[in-house]
Amino acid sequence: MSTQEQRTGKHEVFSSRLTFIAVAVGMAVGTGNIWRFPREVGAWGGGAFLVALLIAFLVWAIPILMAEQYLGSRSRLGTVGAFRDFMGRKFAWMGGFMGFVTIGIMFYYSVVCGWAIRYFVYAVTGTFESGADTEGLWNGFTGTPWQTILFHAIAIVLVGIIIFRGLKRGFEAILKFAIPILFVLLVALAIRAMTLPGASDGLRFLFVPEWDLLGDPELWLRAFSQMAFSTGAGWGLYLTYSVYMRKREDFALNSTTLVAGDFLAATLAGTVVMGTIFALRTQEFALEAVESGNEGLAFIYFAELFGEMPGGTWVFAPIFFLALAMAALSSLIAMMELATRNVEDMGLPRRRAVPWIVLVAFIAGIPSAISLEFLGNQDFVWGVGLLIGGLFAAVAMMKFGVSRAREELDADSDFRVTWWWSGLIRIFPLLFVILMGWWIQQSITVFAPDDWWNPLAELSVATMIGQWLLLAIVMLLLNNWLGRKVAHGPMTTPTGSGSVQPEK
Amino acid sequence: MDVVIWTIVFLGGSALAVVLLLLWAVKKDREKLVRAENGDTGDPGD
Repeated sequence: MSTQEQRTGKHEVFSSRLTFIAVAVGMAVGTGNIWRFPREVGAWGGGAFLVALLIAFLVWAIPILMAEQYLGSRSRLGTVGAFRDFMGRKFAWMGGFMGFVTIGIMFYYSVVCGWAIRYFVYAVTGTFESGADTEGLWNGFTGTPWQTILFHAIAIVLVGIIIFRGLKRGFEAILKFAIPILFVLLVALAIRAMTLPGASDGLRFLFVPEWDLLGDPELWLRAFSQMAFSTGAGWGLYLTYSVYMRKREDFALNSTTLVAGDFLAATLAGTVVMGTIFALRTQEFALEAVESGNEGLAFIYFAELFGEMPGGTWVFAPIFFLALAMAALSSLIAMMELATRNVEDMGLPRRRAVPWIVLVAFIAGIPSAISLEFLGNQDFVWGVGLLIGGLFAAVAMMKFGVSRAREELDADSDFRVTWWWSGLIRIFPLLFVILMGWWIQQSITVFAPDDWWNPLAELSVATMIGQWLLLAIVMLLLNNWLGRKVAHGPMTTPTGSGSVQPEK
Repeated sequence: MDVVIWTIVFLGGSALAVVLLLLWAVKKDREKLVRAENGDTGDPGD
């Protein structure tokens, strides 16, 4: 139990199912929905990619999200305690690994949130007028460390204040309004985009299928990767929010709704971005924008277009960058709550844990604020590392007992998952090996062909595996301490030593 | 025409799916509440 629960005897839960779903969707919807999704979809067959993505949701995301929800709701502990209680004290390190991968993302994601906030400020001050030098603006901003560090600080402190206030007065209170508002903003932007003459070319790029690409394995690998990065499956974030789930809350329908909400946000955002770019520019410009990378697409190519649409400078630019900032912050909130939950489980009350977490996150994010290469490295290492979190969630189910877990999931779910869920959990390691193998192969042959062996290269295999190994070693060394330090939850009774036995 | 159709399929379809799933969730919760008030198990409360 957390120190608050020990003091009050009460366990906080979300006030309603819809609030839980809204907060969970906020966890999943982030900058990737807005800038990574449209690029991947457009470059890889439009509607055909979307079909592969939907299959990836069914095969990977929903089963793993349900596993995370089960881990969090039954253990009532963060990632470390959940893995300890489901698998035994020897495996607490796996929860530490899963948690730290996401915390590693949090360090640079706060910098990215800072960019979005800065650009919102630019937008409300009318910066995006016709002819604005958006490339110069981006280079000027990211080349001025005090600015990137300042906005990184603003993002992390803002989220810290929300997390400090806890569930009821903090992240539930904010997100139950913020997420519906985010969708309203996305719908408004999508309507604006679709009504621009020529927008249909962008919608063609996004939605019309190139069916022959379904035979290309790379399309499937990219779709599964996009799904893993977008839905939060395997990040430990849904596990964390599930700690505050009401008793007997549904698993299957909630996870499915979360994924559907994430997909809707992505298709809306894709409509906004691609509809606008194709409407206001040539196909060559649009393709160049797609090739320019995530930041290039949003902050340079797309930002250039606001000055050319009616209401763009003073209405749609602020709305777009507000939506981007809200999407980023809602995910950052989940990441900080993951860190806070684990620290609270170890006995430090929230009011003391959060200031330390904010300070550590601020300091750890400074290298990413100063260097885009460092940020790119961390995004690569921990982004791909998330796949390992998914594997760990599946392994936890297998250690606990897949059939036993499935029975409990079905007992509390609004629709039964039966053999489908059990089968997918059991084959998950195979899917993991295929996807991870592809990412390693990409690093060797595409990202870093000349220095894949160099641990200091930005996108090398060596840097990726090296940092994962370092994390795993640290977590293994800390395993016993982690296992002892984390409080008991409802699944365990104090036995003094040895592995814990989950209660029936 | 194909653009319109596929936009409706994916964008419209995802919006419809979210609405239907949320309505289904609300319906299921109401059913659980009624069962709980009638004394059955399954109350989704604390």
